[in-house]
Amino acid sequence: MQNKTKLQSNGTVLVVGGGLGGIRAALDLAEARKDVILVDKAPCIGGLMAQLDRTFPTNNCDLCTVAPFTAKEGRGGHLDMRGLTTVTAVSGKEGNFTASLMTAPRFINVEKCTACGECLRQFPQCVSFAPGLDPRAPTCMRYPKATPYAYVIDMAKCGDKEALRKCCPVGAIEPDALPKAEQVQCGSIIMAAGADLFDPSHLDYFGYAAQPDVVTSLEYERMLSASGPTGGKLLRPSNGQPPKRVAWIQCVGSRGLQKGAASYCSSACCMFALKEAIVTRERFDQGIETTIFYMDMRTFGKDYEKYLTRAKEQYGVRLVHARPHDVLRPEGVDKLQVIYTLDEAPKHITEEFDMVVLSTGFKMNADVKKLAEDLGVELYADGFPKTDCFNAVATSVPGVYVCGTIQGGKDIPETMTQASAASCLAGGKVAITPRPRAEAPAIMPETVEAPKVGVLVTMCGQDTSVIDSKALVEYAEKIPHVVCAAVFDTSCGCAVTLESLKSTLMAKGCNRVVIAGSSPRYELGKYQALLGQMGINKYLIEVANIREQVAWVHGDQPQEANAKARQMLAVALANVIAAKPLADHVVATNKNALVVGGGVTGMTAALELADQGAQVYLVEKSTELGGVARNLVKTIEGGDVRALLAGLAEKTTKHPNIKVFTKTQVVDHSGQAGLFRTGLSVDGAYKEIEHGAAILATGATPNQPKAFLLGENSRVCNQLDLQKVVSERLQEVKKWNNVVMIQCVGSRDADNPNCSRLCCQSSIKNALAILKENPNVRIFVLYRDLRTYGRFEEYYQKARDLGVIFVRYKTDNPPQVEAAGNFVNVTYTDAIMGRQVVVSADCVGLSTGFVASRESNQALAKVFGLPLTEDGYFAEMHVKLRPVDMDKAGFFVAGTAHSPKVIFENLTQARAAASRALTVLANDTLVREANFAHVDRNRCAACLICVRVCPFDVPRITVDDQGLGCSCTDDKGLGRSYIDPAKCHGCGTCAAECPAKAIQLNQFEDAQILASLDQLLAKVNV
Amino acid sequence: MITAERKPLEELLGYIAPYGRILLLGCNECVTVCAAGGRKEVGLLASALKMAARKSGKDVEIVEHTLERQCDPEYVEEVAGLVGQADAVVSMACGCGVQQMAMRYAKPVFPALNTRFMGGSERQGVWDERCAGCGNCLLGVTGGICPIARCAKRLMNGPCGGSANGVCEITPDVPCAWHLIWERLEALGQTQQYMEIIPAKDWKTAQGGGPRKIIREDLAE
Repeated sequence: MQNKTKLQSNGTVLVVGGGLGGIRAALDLAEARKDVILVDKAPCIGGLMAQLDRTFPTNNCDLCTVAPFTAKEGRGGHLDMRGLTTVTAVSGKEGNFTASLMTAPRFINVEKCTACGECLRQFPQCVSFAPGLDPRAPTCMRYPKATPYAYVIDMAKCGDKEALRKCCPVGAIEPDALPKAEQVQCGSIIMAAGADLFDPSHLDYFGYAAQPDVVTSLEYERMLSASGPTGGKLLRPSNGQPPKRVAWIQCVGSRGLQKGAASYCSSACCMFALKEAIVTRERFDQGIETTIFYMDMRTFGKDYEKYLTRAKEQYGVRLVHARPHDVLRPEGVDKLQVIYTLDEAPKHITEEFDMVVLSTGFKMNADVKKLAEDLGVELYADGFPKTDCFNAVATSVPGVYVCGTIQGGKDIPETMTQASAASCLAGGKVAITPRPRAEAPAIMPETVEAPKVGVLVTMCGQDTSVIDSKALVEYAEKIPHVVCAAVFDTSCGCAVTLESLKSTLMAKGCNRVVIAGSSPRYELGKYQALLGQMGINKYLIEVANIREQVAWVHGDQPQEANAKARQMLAVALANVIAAKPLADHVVATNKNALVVGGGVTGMTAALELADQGAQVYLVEKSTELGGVARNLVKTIEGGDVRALLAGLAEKTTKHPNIKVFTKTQVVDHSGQAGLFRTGLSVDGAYKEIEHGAAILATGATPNQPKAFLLGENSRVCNQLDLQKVVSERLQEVKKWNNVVMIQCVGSRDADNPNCSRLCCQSSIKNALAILKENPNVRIFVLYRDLRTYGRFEEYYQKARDLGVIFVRYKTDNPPQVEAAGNFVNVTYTDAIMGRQVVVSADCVGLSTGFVASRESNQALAKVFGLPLTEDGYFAEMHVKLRPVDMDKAGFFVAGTAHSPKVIFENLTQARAAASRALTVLANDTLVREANFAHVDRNRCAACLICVRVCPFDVPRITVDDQGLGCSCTDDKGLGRSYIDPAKCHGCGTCAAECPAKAIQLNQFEDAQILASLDQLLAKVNV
Repeated sequence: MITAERKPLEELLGYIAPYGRILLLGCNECVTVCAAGGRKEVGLLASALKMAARKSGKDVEIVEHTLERQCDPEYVEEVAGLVGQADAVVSMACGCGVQQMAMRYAKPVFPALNTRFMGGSERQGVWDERCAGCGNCLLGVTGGICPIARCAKRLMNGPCGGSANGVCEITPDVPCAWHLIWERLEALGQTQQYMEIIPAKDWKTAQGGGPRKIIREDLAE
């Protein structure tokens, strides 16, 4: 994977900003074995996300999900994290930058601090949380589980430095610490410094500065959060009473022309407000009325439209299409009055609310802007960096990349995608730094001691409030073999640390651990690492998932919930007592990559991988590369898609590391990340390839719904065809008088419930192109919600300036289209005039959007064993935090195969997928978890049942040492079944079917399952 | 391989009704391979018997064990201790194993299986009869397909009038053995073999001569 030409440059990437985007970029680089320095001006990393209570669309508290990423263990020494650090100057150019860093004193030695909280108790005035609602100073521990897990002191607020120094039991406080300046060399720079939120203080008509009950959406979020200023209670700041009616006002500081508002759309606020409204009703009080005042409901992300539907239908969130012009509180009145006007009723409406939440958008931070200017990065007037129209993470300065909200307002999945894309490009400029991996060997004691079990009941604030943790601990203590039990509060600034837990467990001589808490999926790794430090085999742990399986589902039945929690704990105990120590299986990886789909996304991903040294197999089912982009001419920004396509196709076909297979389909597949084997049908001939990672970039299908005379009348076409007409049949376009565009045709309806995302900008792009050729034409855009998110909003503004008429229609009164001689008559209802309007159109452009390529996706999903969404798109692993990873390790998804999106977003995702794939391919070996099946050869009757039932064709009856490539050299093993741990998927089918009971599945051995069942059914057995 | 199927639970419950301590004994040979009497089946039957006993309010103790082979005295000797502690033995071996146990031990031994036939596996979970153990193998002249085991009438010289479209008249699931033999000989280019008359079979080598025995002079002492 090492490209020698890159060795000239400095092998380090500097990541500025330790929010989610910065963390993701840094981790991608570190996992791909590139050295990275991550700096953040805050004392710990986490950024904005760490302040959120829940995140859409899953409405989970994702702090625990993020925590494993931010924890520093196991990055192979590639990641250097520095808090309280700013970049003061940068010189040099791509390949050899020199950055000057300034680290402010923390006054606490991070190496010594155990985060015991003693300083916080004795000197609370030096300590705080923030933002907004908390009056105390910034910040001691910004959020629970902060990384680094240590406090920080605001020395200016401290009167007696000596007393403060002495209060620390481990002597970690250093009141005389000084700022530290340093210069670092780096090959490329990723700016992930985030953005500020718009400050609405000067908007006197919203009363934010004067009215305590008017808050910003982030402040409201903090009020919802268990770690927030009210400890997770939703109370009106003015009187401490719970609110009955809450209103959200959208687009505060975004989509505006005056009072400092930005001209762009901040993209994330609509979902943010919906989430807050849902959480308010779901978690606090079903009786709280929630109303959102909006201009356009912009739920354009993957499955976000369904979230909007759920908010309306399931949670009863009220949506009002209006922009309130005043929020008042008359003298002596306890409530806020919101004054607004509706489309169809031109009069003032005054409505009373207890709280008003302002959905404030994103804004450039002044310090970040200065740094960007110092770097010479070209900026927009609003201060955000300009990026390439086909490469949203590349700035005007080579070697300087951006990701996240610094590039413009966006939500978490898009930030994560950009972060991986930026790391792909920045990492491509620097070489892998070889460092020996310090992987702890599996601990396999010679003799298994008598079980001594430690029980940790991990609680998570609001989430687990139904569980009586103390009672659960008391219950656990009475169970045989349990030597200690404790509660560990994982969410809310608890004083108990993993370190102290470790010493407790070790003091009691624990040799097995049970965690009663949240899903093993996120937590297990952390606790397994803890076991490793204690010298205990990492498989001697069991998790009872009482958060999801008890607290979440039985929150309203405390008695039954606690009984079930006790039972689950007892089952987990029985299981762990019967568990055996196991060893992982280590295999060498294959460093090739498979890319399925030869559109712009697939080609971009292939080129990024190939440029970084991977051998890429690019598989395309049609006869040529290009995909749907072959129908495109230009992007809305003016980017030449045809030139892009030609360039990509030429580079791809000529690249020495890329092998292109056209007329090729995937027919079979086996193996695991790092060791896949995929069978292809190349123009009818079978070919097998081996690869370590795979990227799916199979695209989507332009929708062709039967509606509005599409396919029946030559004057009705979709936006793709309209674009072609405008670029190829100019004479015709110049003669047009009226053009009508209809949005959401075949999207956001019963058959295709999601938004196709790209059609709003695409109709505006076409409208602007038509107006350029024919300034006299009248263009009508009939829409439901105009979703020109981000900078597309500026084109929407431009279209309105040029006279394009935008008219909202409702689904219960859609436009009518009928052929009328040489024209097509479009009839719609104008809400303001209150009557029907008929337009004789020369051309009707329908925004038909995209649908998933359902059949081919299903076929691929079956071969690869991957999940699809309900709509037939490929499902990512985690909608929020893992937007390009798939549930199957080593598989990644990019482009419209994931969900509809515009071309530059597809390319960003392609680079992100390449970056994620590189984290797999950079490893020489792969550690296979021990959950594979093994054969007791003394019991095996060689009956062939395992060979026949295995869905992955793994077991073999060994004939000789060479013949089947098995590693068993033991003579007694010949003529018996052999299961290769590297190939076994751990499904357990063979173990269940083996008539001789010769096969056991590690971690799920009969003894463990029977012990659990005996425990679970104990009453029946009495 | 000898194939077998488990007996209905009611019949087994009837056998063990008088006894409190049962040794349930599996065999790791043919009956494991045909999924009738290996460790897994022993475990399943033990659970079923225990559940049935508990349902009827009876206390029964079942010890599970599986021998490498139940038709050899040396293996059978291994369970002397377990048999000593049991009131009765339920054997999940074929009839050979059951008798080996019954010959060795003075305790009641009951069969848990119905031994069916000598056969081979067609695919996972399906076995068919291939050999009738007639003691005088004809496969060399019948294209490798046995008319004794696979023809309902054990005809020696071609099919009967009930053969139609390649299947036997007893049921359409059974292919006509002689049809198969013909096709096979045709494929091998040996149809002249079919013209040879096979003389009437001497059934003395089959069970017609009473219980059979093999004595290998060179091995037996």
